[in-house]
This record gives sequence, C-alpha cells and structure tokens, in this order.
Amino acid sequence: MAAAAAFHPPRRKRRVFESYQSPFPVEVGGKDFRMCQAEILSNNVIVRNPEDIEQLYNKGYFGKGILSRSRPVYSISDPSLVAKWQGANINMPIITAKKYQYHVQWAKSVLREQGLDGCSVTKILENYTKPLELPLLKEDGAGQTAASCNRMGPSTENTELSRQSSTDTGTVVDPSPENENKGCKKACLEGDPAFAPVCGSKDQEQGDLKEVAEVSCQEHGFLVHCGCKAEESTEQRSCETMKSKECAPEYVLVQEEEECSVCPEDEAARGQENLVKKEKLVCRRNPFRIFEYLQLSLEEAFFLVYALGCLSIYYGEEPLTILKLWELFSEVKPDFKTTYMAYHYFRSKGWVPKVGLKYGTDLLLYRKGPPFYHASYSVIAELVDDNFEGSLRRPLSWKTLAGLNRTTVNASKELMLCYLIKPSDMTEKDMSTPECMKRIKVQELIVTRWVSSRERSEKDEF
Amino acid sequence: GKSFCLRAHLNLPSGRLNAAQPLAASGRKAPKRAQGQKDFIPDGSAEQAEKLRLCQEEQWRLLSEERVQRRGNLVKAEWKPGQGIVELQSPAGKFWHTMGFTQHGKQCLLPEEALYLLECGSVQLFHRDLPLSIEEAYEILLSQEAMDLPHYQVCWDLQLVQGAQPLTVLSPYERQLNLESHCKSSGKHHRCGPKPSSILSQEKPLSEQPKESDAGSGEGESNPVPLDTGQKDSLSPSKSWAGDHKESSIGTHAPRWDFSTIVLPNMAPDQPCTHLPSPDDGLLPENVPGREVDAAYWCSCINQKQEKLSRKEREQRERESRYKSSVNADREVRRCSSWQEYKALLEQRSQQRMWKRPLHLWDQAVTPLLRPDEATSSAALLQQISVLQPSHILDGASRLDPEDMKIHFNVYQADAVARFKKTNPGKPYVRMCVRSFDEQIPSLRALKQVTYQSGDIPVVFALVDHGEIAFYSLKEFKLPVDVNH
Repeated sequence: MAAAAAFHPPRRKRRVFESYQSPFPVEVGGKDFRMCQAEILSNNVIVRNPEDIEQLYNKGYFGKGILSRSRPVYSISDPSLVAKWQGANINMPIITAKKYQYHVQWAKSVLREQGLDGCSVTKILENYTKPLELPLLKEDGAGQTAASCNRMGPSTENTELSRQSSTDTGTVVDPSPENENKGCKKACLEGDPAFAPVCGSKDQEQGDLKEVAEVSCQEHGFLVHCGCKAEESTEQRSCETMKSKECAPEYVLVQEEEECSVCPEDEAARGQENLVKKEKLVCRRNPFRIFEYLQLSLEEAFFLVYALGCLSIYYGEEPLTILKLWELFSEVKPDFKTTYMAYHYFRSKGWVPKVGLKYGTDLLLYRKGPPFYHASYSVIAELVDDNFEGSLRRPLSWKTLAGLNRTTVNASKELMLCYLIKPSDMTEKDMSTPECMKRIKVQELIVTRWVSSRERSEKDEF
Repeated sequence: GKSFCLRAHLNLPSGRLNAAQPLAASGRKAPKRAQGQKDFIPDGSAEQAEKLRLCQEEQWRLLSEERVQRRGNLVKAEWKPGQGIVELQSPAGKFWHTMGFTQHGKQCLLPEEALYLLECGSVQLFHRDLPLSIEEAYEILLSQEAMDLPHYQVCWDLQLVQGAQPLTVLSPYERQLNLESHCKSSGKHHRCGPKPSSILSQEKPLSEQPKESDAGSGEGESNPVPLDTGQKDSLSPSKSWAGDHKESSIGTHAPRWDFSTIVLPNMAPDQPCTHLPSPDDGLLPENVPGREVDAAYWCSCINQKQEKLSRKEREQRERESRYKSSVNADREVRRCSSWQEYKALLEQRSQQRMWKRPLHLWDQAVTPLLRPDEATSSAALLQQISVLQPSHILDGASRLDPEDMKIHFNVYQADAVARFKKTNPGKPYVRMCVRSFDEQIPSLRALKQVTYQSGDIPVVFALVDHGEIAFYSLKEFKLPVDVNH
C-alpha cells in the first residue's frame, strides 16, 4: 500500500452527445476575444445575452440554465405535441391551447400592473394574439404556406396538410423565396409598434418604455426586451444582438380544436351533418415570452472576471471592479474566499468544478466537463493557518466522514479534502484582495477506506 | 483437538445470523448471501421473535461449549500487575515466533498478547496462583492504561481470520521505537506535481537571430545592396553580414541607408521587373563594376523544368491549396512598396484585432490574471492563472511537536510472517492509530504529525464501534493537470 493516494483515471460516459469546444471562453492566442456580460440580481449572477450564454456554457461549462437541469435548453414547446405533429415539419414550438391561455393571462396581468385599463388590455392582446399566416413554411418543395394546418386528429394519417387547408381558408401565399422573406418581415412589423418598441427605431419615447422594461424584466419579457434600455448605451453590441434574437416576437403553434361541419378529406363523413372536432395548429405570437438565463455561481463568476478577464459584471448600471467583486461576494457568502480558492485551484489544473450540493460537499470535479466524464472527486474545502489548524467550516467526526465517504463511493466518486493553508501573518486586510492567493498553499487529501485482509477474505467466501 | 478462538465460532456465515431469509427456506443449499432486506426493526411478530430466539440459543450453546485442550500444550503464565506484563512459567510454544519478548532472562508477554493467547487456548493465565477465567483476564489485563478494549479489539480483528494462525502480526509501536532508528530520520519528501516553471524566452545566438530584431539598425531588412545584377540573392539574410551587423548595432550612429528610398524590385513571374538600372558606384565594393541590365532573358531561362513532385508532395500541395493562400494575394499587401509599409500594415491589423480592455478591470489596482495575447497555448494559459502553490503532507511536519496522536501498532502482511523476526521485523505494511467514531477526524496538523512519525509507511485509522471496526486513511494526493483534451 502506497503512502500517497493513487490517481484513478476518470470514467468516460458511455454516450456523449456533444463535441468539445474549448476549455475556456478565451481563445488561445487572444484572437477574437469576446467580453461577456452578467448582472447581479438579488445576490445572484445571471447572464442574459443568448450568445454570451452559449459562449460561457459551451466553453468550460460555466453556469446553469435557470429553467434546465444544467445546459440551458428550455423551450416552451411540448415534446409530445412535436412528436404528434411530426408531419407538419415546422421549426416552431408547439403548445396546447391551455398553455397559450396561461401566457395570455400572464401578459394581461403584466399590462394591468402597468396601469392600463381592462379595455385597452383586451384590445391590445386580441390584436397581438390573432392568428397569423405561417411565415417560411417549406413543405417538401411545395413552398406553400398556410394559415393553419388541418388534421383529423392523431389517428388519421393525413399529411396533405397545406394544400387542403389553403383551399379551405382561401389564403395562398406566393411561394417564391423573396416573398417568404417579405412575409417574415411583414409578420415582424405586424405588431403594433407600441408593443415592440425596441424592435423599431431607437428614437421611440424613452419614458414609458424604460418603465415597461424595468417592470416586466425579471425572468421574462413581455414583448419588450428588458434590460436593453436600462443599460448603458455603451453596450451597443449586446443591445443589437439581443434585439435580433429576443426582440423579434416569438411565434408559436397552438394546438386548437375547431368544430367543423364539413370534412372534405374524409369521404366517409360526407353526407353526415355531424359536428366533428378537428385539431389544428394555429400560428400566433407569444405575448408572454419566457427567457431562460444562465446563472453563474459566485465562484464561476469571479473566475471569469479575475482569472480570465472575459466577463464584466454589472450591479445596476455599474460594472464592478475585481476588488469590489471580491468584497461583495464575500459579504454575500461568508466562506466565499475559501470555496473560491479551491475552485480557482482546480480550474487552473484544467478540471471543471461544479457545485457539490447534491453530494453534500463543496465541489464536484469533472474532467473536461459533465457531458464527457462522470465526476471523479467530491471536494470539501477548508482554510487553515500555517500551524495547519483553523476553525473549520465543517468539522467532521469519524462517523460523519464514514457516512459521507459511503455516499460518495456509492456514486463512484472519491472524497477529497482540500486544505488551503495561509501564512499566519496574513491579515484580514491582506485577504481583502484576491492577490492573497499567491501566498496560499493547497493540500489535497483523499479519504480511502482500508479493507483488511479479513474483510477481503470474507467477501471471497460469499 | 484443534483449538480455535472464540470469535471464530461467531464467524458464522451471515445467513445464519441474519434473521430475514425468505429465499433460504425454499430449499436451496447453504445460501451464499442472505437475500432481501435485513430485519432491523422489531415488528413484534412471532416469526421474528422465534428467529431471534434460535439465534440466541445458538450463541449460548457455542459460548458454553467447553473447549478441549491438551494440557500438555498449555503454557503456564503469570500476570505481574506491578510490571503490567505476563511472565511465562513454562517454555513458550509456536507463538514465540511472533510474540513476546525477553526480560531479565525470562520469556514475557504483553497483556494483549497474553489475552489473545488465552482465548486461543495456548496459554493458561495465573494470578496469585489461581487460574484466570477469560472474563477475569479481560477485566484485569485490560484495565491498565496501555491497552484498552477498543485497541484490543483492533488487534483481534486484524489477527483473526479463519482459525489457528494469525494472518497479521502485531507488534506494539513502543517496542519498535527501540529498534527502528530509521523511523525518525526519514525525511524523504516526495515532491509531486509540476513545479511552476516560468516561461522563458529563448535567447538565440546572434547568428540565428532574424535581422530585423536587432536593436541598432532601425526598421527593415538591413541588406544594403538591393540593386544587383541579379546574381546575388539580395533578399535572403546571409551569414556574412552578421559580422558587420554586430558592429553597427553597438554603435549609436545613424543607419547608413535610407530605407524609405530603397525599393526592392519584384522579379517574380507575375510582376516582372526586368529592367535593372546601373547601381550607384558608391555602393559597390572596389574593383567591382556595375552595369545596367535587362534581365528579361534571364527570367526566361529560369523555371524551365517541370518540377516533379512525389505523390506525397502533390497531395500535400493539394491540401494546402485549399486553405493556404499567398501573402501577395492580398491587395493591401501588394500596395505596400517597402518592407516598412508592410510592417505598418501588420501593426495596424493587429491593433484592430486586439481586444478592448475594459477600464473597470484593467485600469485598477487588481487586474485579471490572464493576458490573452500571452496565452500561446492551453498549457501557457493554465500557467498564467496558476497562482496557488502546492503543498505536500510532509511540508512543515518536522517542526511540529509530537502530540497525542499516537501510533499504536505496526501491521505486517500475512506473507511477511515467515520472514518476521522480533529482532528484525522488517518494514510494516501499515501503521495503525486507534480512534473512536465519535471523535473529530484529525486536524491537518495532527495528520501531518502522525504521517511524519510514520515515515514512508502509510497510516491507517482504526475506528471501533461496538465491536465493529472500520479502517480509513487520509492520503496525500496531487490532482494531475489536465491539458490535452
């Protein structure tokens, strides 16, 4: 038995659905350097810009989608409906009518909160949520578009959707590509400018817009992209990119029922004057969009700012300096310095640390990233002085350690204690800057359970 | 008959002690492992009560069994409370190979050894001329400070497996201290992990240095004779200029050439400049005449032979042609009429590419660690952000006072028993500390101290809880750097 713990190579996941891009959102060589932006909302750091989200998550697996398990993949679309309407072949989320109604209700209450009276609200919403011609509907080269897709319900294998319905509704849109674009543009501008002010020119009335922006902002945006106006105008780039992706209205397909007295497709029903309930997809705008943001842990956020310099964190309108962030995060989380140092250490070794909450520890260490390997280590961090003692964040009895080790090993991980050793002459003042890390040493220990030969042979017997 | 220890009796296959065995009843042969959930809560059922009763009966039966021992084989030993040891009254048996010690010419045993042998039925213990029962022996021998019950249980656990022979040999650490002089002196520090190395730029010898990097001569190539007859290759740095170069770089006089007026003729096939005027006499060495020349004829003489490429070369060319392009294909580059202009163009382009450094991060007392333009590779990037120092378990351990974290035993591996000699036990497999489950785990300080004491032998903590023992160790580890993904 060796005195030092052996390194066990991480176990690769059997099925990997992603390809690895880069260890950090910073290119080697410094070309195409991109600054991402985040803000502080109730002591949490969130990133809103979709491109920044992609950059930070894809390159280094920073953060977690607030509506997802890890990677932000929230979609309003109902997967069972998408499967059901597979023949429709459209790239729009499909939702139930009921869900759409919820969104309408939410939008209504938001508008109400803004002081609009009931009458205006109804009018506004009716206008916004009216059925639309489907833009950009390509169907096996037919190029026809339709206002709605008719279908006899899931049991009927009716794929002849567009042509039938176009006959029904009498609307035909010229299939040429130019017109498709026009159609799209048309749909964009269809909205009353009052509700998509940011999509339009910048010289809209700033007054009530700002109000609207601030009120409706937190996790969702009703028609207006929040934050766009609330930020410094120096952030032009982000403003524009956000416009392009989020300010355009979200089109959804709502599965609605329609009573139809004549069903021309169904020969058997001809002659019957029965009312048949038909399901169809109607394209409407979503009046209450839910944007998924990326939430960064305090450690991840600080690392991106201090170690890589590729993130700016705003508090209100003010971008914070590194020292200020160090101070602020330490106030929010008293043990921040300790957990940050451990985080920084493991990142500087090329590993990906994620939060260890589920396993009762501080960090889980992944090689390369969660999609590729199972987490190898579960880490508890402690700060001690150079007499190797300190008031522990988490004093452990042997009993607790045994239990923690058991659950860790059951999840095929190893339990690691990470001691951060600071010189005894390091004062509070010294620690008020992250530069104090240069004088701090790291000691890793692995907890292993020793199986005596007796236990081993007992196991053999059975 | 063969004598075996009490605990061995209790070492029944778990199937017999485990109350819940629904599948065992279905006629299988001796079950290898008990199936299903263990009964862990009293449910008040008659079935459970019956199972417990049977178990208890079995235990009592075993415990009350009288053991058969050959009297002749029993070694008599006497407990000496004053010294806290046991003195043998008759010669020792086989156990003397691994246990016991000699004192004042007499064979003696430590209390725990005596107790163990008593249970094995190898010795008979006397105190004040009366034989001690096992119960009495436990009470009397273990009441001393040197050894308490948990310690003893650990000894027991490690020694005992299947019967007669102990698989591991224990030898109290205190005894070892007298024999092992190497123990304290092991100051071997295992430095693991990469030493932080600074990225040094290589200083190349002068002759290999690219000309333009030389400080003294201003910008541009310092090839002073561009207008040639075409025979001298004027554009490649030649070694012969190195000497001159060196001299001029030391001095501070102004450069001899006005590079802004020197134009390098392009004689490439795509933009032929075939008329070369006569060079300035002042630039020519002595006795070397210069003349005007029309190089058109010469240009037509070159590039006559078709270059024959091997298949590999052809393939490589084909691959490269997909993404490689000539520098001259760039219009802006073609517009540059001198090297100076070209360098200016490059500078301008790199400025555009450089990231805008936000003031709130860079114009401050504390700035980000990474300078993106200095991250030339993934490893270099990691290097730049590595600010925390590694520490080894033995660092600073030598200055710690040995405290109350005692090593209680050395444990030797089974196969080492044959080679074991009390006077020269060899290297232990592990060293053991006995602790209680309710205690705090050792502080880093205590751990360093005990690890240092142990030298290069791993330390294991034995935790006792109502007869159950678990062994844990806290081992030094260095997470390897992962660079190449």
